[in-house]
Amino acid sequence: MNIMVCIKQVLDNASVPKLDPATGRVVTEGVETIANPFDLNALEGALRLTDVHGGEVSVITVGNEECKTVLKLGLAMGAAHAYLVKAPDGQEQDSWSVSYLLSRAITSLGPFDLVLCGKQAIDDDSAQVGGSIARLLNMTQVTYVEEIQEVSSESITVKRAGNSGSEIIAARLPALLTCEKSLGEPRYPTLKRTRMANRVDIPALDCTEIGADPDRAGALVKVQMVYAPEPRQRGELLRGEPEEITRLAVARLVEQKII
Amino acid sequence: MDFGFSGEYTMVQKMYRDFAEKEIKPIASEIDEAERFPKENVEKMAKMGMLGIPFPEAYGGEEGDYLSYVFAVEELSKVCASTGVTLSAHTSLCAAPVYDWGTEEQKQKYLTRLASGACLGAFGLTEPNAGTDASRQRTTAIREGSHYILNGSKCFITNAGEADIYVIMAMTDPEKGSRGISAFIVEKDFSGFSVGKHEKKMGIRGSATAELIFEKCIVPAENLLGEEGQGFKIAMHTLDGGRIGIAAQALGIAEGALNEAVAYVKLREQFGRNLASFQNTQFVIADMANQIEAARLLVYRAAWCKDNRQPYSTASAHAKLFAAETAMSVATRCVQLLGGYGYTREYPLERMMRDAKITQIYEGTSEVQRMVISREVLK
Repeated sequence: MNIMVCIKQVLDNASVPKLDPATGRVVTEGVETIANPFDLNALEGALRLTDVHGGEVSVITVGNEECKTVLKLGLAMGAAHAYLVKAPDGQEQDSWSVSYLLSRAITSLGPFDLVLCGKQAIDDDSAQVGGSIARLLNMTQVTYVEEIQEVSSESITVKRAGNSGSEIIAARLPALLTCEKSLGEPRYPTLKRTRMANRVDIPALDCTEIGADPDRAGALVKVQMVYAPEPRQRGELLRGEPEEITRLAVARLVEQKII
Repeated sequence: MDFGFSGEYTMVQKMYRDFAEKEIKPIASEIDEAERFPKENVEKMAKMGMLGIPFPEAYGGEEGDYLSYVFAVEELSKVCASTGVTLSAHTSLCAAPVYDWGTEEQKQKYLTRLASGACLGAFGLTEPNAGTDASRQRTTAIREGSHYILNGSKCFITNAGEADIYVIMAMTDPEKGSRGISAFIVEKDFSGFSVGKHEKKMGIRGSATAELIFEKCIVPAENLLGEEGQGFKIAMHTLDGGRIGIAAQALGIAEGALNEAVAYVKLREQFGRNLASFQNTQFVIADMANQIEAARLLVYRAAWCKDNRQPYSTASAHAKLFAAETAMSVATRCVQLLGGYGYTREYPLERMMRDAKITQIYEGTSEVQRMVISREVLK
């Protein structure tokens, strides 16, 4: 079973994002980055499948040289191959262009029985890329997969989080799954694998190498401005006996025309 | 001279940090309170290869270096010094002498089990009457045909009762003094070997510390480590390496304590502003960070010396002395920064302060380190 897992490098959610007022963008310089956690759940799910059924897991990302860090983590966790897709210089990226580049790369590197993505990235939370890749590859897709139940050479049965509860879905392979956290807590890399991952020469593929049209590899969405929501006002602490507090609370609610 | 780490070391450090934060930190306070050895976490450490970091793959190890091992002890000790010393005693005091002094058969039989994490290791040198004066060993080993008979006891043994394999020093020829000491590999199930009283300690209460008892303990002759009479040399050489591990533990305690105090002073408000904005706090924090930085350089340098086959006996004494004194002084000052809260068990600092104390005592007290250093300076 050959599986491709798409990983996005995102800003560390432990850091508080800062906005650059001049560019209206989130400051990325000097901020720690991590692999999108849901993507690592997907990678763990993939590794568990190959642990049982054999085959290989590959990891891929779109970005610059720095993004090799998340690919190295993927290799250290157990992936056999890693690929960096270089976005054309000077072109902004969005969900569309990243999906396009990934779909071209997956086609040129494949075939794969499964393509796994996290259910969404924790930076923009757009949850677009997984579905878009599947559409561009004309591949079966199942989103919000909570558990992989059965796999054969032709099909896969998964449990997905539906609107009104879980759904059990059987899909024909090849398929693309977007994965929930419950797919598996990412395994820790070992020292041996970490050292190996750092010595692997990760190929950086450009548009020509993956058969992508550079003119289609740019963002369709133009971000006008990013701004932080107004900070919430401080609440008022009412003190006193229960009767008094109740009276004050009701008075405030009436004042603000809530009741 | 290069003080920068390659991406590989940064990644290794981060890997151990993530593990310590996710797996070790959440139970650090509980195992201290209950004086419980965290078997479940040692199993997780074994699974990720942490029990065999500096040993070759051929013996089940991770093929890493001593610096990577130092990172592991340091990161564990930032959140739980008990777990830090469990790894340090296993690696530096048991697996290392088997690797350095063992025969090929001994390495195949014991190092593979230690390095792969299938077995935990311990080291027995200290006796009730042989502490710093380790040459006064009373435990005896008498050769009888194809085996040795060990009699005596060891005390304050880290990982005692939890370990499967022990490196034990015993006197084979009392007339020769320290040159009459030999080293043995003892398995927990050997006849005549038992674990005695568990110590009730001030700190590192989540680590196992107990007495080892040998009553006509039968040890096969092939379990002699090195040659007869080499035991003291093996022990001293082993402790030189072990001290780097304890120095890393002390460094970790100091860093962990500072992290906790920094988080606190940024949030705690008194007189209408947070503690971090007071100059006293800033100066105390700066002094602590300064000491930690110096300790880190000494500890990493000692590991570098060992990795690069340079003499490391004095370097490890410098590292252990400075890091242990730093741990104690930093932990104490961090408790002070937290005031009353620092003194309660609600915050981890009182535990860190209790844990720090042992680093000035075991694997050679701070005074022993001064002896080692001055001997080198005055020679």
